[in-house]
Amino acid sequence: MSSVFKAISDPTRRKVLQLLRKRPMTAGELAEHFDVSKPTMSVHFKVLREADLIHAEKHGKSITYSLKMSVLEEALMGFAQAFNMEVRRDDEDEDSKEHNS
Amino acid sequence: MNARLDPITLRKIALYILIVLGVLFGAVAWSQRPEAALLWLTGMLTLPVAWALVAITGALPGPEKPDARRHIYNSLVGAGLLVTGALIVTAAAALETIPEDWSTRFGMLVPALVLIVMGNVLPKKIEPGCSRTRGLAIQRLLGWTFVVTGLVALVIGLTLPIAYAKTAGLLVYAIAVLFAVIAVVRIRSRGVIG
Repeated sequence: MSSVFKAISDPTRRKVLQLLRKRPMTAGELAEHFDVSKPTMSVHFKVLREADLIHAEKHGKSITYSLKMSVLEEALMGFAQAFNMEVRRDDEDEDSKEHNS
Repeated sequence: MNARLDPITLRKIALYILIVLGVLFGAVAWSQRPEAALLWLTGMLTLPVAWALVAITGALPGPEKPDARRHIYNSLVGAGLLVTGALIVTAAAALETIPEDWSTRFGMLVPALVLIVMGNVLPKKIEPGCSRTRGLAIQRLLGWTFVVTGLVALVIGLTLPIAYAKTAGLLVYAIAVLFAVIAVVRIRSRGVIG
């Protein structure tokens, strides 16, 4: 459950989940909605995958992501959104370091 | 003493405890009110039968699939909780330690709880071979409908006087079914939800 809290405590990841509510999207389509680098987006996708909140499916060269959230997880995300919950900066730095190494 | 139990072992222990408690309270309920205990005792018998079938048919996944193993144990523990809970309530009502209507209330709470648990995980299921966009929309709609209906039925079962609770509970289920059918038909005709 801690991985779920970590995943939904970041506004970018919450936005990704909100976009996926409408329909499954490729990594490229999702990245278009954010002003961040590709490696940073990859870290966000990895965190969401590890928390089992999204499902990744490879089609040729692109990866299509679709939502995989339980009702409770969606409700928790709603609370996080309402209270504008944010991840601690050092947690984020750790993720980026892990990904770059 | 410092060895930690893995989740599967914990579930196994929980299942054994539930079976023992079920048999114990089932015996008490049987001695006081056999007709009320019979149904739930039969339900309790299905647990070892289900366990034996899982073992005999080889349906229990190996240690290399811990998630699948955990799901099977979760189902068995969930079923054990429901049946043992019913036997405890039946025994307690027969011994007049709780009001008589709680036996009926428990019968109303069980489907509500099952609905909540099922509805919660429904949107997480990945169904291969169907349109993911439409499938996800229908799964999310049904998931939320199940959970909200279950919660409302749970509150009704716990708070309303039993005479009203039965009618109100049925009404809630009827409204939920109607809502779900209309919404699924609309999703199927439109394709996608926002």
